[in-house]
Amino acid sequence: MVKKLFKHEMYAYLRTILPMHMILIGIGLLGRFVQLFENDSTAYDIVFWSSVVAFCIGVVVCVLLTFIFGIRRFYTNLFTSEGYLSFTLPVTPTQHIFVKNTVAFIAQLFSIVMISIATCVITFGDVCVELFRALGYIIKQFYIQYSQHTTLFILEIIVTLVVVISTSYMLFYACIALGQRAKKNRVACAVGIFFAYYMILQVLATIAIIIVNTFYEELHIEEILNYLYYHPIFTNHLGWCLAIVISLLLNLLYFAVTKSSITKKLNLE
Amino acid sequence: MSEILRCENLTKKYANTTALNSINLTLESGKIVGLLGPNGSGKTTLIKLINGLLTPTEGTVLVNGNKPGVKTKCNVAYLPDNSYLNSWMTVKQIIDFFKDFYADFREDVAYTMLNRLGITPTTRLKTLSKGNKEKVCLILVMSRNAKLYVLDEPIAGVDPAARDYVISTIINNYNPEATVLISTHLISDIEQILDEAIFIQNGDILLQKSIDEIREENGKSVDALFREVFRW
Amino acid sequence: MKWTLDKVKPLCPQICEQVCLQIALGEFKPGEKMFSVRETAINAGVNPNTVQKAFEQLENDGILYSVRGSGWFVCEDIIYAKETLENLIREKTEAYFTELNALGMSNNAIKNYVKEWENE
Repeated sequence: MVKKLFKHEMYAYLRTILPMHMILIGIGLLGRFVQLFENDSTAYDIVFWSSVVAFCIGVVVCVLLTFIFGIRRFYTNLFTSEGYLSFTLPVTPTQHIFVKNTVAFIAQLFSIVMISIATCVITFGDVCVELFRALGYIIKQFYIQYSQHTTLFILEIIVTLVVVISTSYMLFYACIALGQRAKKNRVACAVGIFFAYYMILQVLATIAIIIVNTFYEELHIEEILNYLYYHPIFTNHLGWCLAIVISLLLNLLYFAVTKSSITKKLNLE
Repeated sequence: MSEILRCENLTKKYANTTALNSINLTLESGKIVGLLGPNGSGKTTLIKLINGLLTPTEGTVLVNGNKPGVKTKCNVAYLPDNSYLNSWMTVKQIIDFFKDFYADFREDVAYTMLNRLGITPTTRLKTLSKGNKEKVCLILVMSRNAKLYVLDEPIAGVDPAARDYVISTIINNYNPEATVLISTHLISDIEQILDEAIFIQNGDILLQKSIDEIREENGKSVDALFREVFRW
Repeated sequence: MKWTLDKVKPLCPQICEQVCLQIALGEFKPGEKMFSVRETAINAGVNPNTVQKAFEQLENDGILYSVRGSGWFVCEDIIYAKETLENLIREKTEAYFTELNALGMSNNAIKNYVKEWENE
C-alpha cells in the first residue's frame, strides 16, 4: 500500500513541480542565450541584468512554491473534499503521514537538483567552471583544516538537512492536524497554533538565556565555552549531532501529534 | 444471515447540536436498505461514522465486527454526497487509482459501464458534465465487489432518466451477499428497490422495517408514511 | 407486458400475481425458462431479493421450479396461473359493476351500454 501511495503522491507532485522547474531551466537557457550577444551597450546591460534578476526570482519562487505545495497538499488531500477518498482508502494514518512527508522531502531535493541544473545552464561556460572550481577549493580547504573529519562533517550536514526539512514539514502537518480539532475556522486555528508555538519557543529560549546568564558561575559556562573554543572539531561534531538529535526528537513529537489528531479526532465536514 | 453493520449507543455531537442521539442499529448482509430522513436528520453523520471520517462522541460502530480502519475500508464502498474526485485526473487515472488501492475493484466492469455511457478513458474529470461526473463516481463505487455499499444521496438532484440509471446500476452490480445502504430524502423513486427502510429524525431512529411490512401494516406506501411521519 | 406495481400494496404478492399473469397469457410457455431474478428485478424496477422471495413462493404454489445453477422454469401444469388470471378478470368485472351500480346503473343497463359502446 505504501508503494502505491508513493506512486500516486509522486505523480501529483510532479505534475505541478516539474513544469515549474522546467520554466526555470527555460529562463536559464534564455539568460545564457542573451550572454551570446555580450557588448558594451546599455541595452545589453539592461537585458542581461533583467535576465539575471528574472532567474533569481525564479529560483526563490521555485523554492517557496515547492515548500508551500508540500504543506498545501497535506491539507487539501486529507482535510478537504479529497479527504473523503484519502481516508476511505485501506491505508493507516501513519502511512499517509509517512508518504506525504517523504514525498514532500523528495520534492525539495528534486527542486534543489533542478535549481542546480538551471544554475549550470545560465552560467554555462567559464563562469560555470569557475563556480565548480570555487566549490572544490572550499572543500579542499576544509580537508586541509580538518583532514579526515571533513567527510564526517559533510555527512553530518547532509543528515541535518534531511532531518530538518522533514521536521519542518512535520511541524506544519501537526499544526494543520491540530487545527482540525477546532469546531470552525480550522485553517485559521492552524495558523494560530503555529504562531503560538513559535512564541512559546521564543519564550523558552529567552528563559534559557536568562538562566545561563544568572548562573554563569555555577554552571561553569566560562570553562565550557573555553573548552569548545579550543576544540573546534569536537564543537562542530557536537553542534551538528545535537541539531540532528533535537530535530529528530521534534520530528517524532510532531508526528505523534499529527497521528493522534488524525486517528482519534478526525472530523471531516 | 450474517450481520454486516452494528451501531451501539452511537452518539455524535457537534459544537452545539446533537447529530446522532445514542442510536442502536444492526444491518444484515444481502439487503438493500434505505436510510430515510429529511435534511439534517443525521443521515450523513451516520454514514461518515461508518466510513471513519468522523469520530464518535460516544458508542461504537462496527463493520463486519471491526471498528472503522484499514480492515473495514477494504470492505466498504462509499459514495459521498459531494464530488470528491481530483478533477485534474482522467477517467483512466482514477480507475487505476481505485484498482491500485481496492483489491475488490473490477476494472472490466467499470470500463463496460463507462463504455455504455460513451465516456472515453482519456476524458478529464473536470470536462465531464455534472451528471456524468456523478455517474462516474457511482460506477467507481459499484465496480467494487464490497461487502457493504454506502451511498449518500445518490439520486438527489439528478433528472428522472439519470435516476433510473442509478437504480439499475445499483441492482445490476451489487453482489447479492452484500448490503447496500442508500440514504435519501426522495423516497418514492427508490422505495421499490428497498428491502428495508430506516426512518431517522433529529438523530433518532424512528423505525426499521421491511417495505412490505410497512405497506401491509399501514396500507400505504413508504413514501406516504414518510410524509406523514415527517410532517411539519 | 409492462410491470404495473401498486405503490400502496406489499410488493411480493404483486410480483407473484404479475408473473402468474405473464404465464397465463403465454408470455412464458410451460417448461420454458424464466428471466433470471436479477433481470426480472431490473425490468420490474424492484429489489432482486423481493423477486427471489416471489419466485420461491411461486415454487411453493407449483407454478415455477428452480434448477440449481440454471435458473427458474415454468411448470408444465399452469392451472394455478390461469386461475389467478380468471380471478383477476372476475375481480375487475365485479369492481366495474359495483362502480357503475353506484352511478345508478342496473346490471342490465350496464350490459346494454357495453353493447352500444362496442358498436360505436
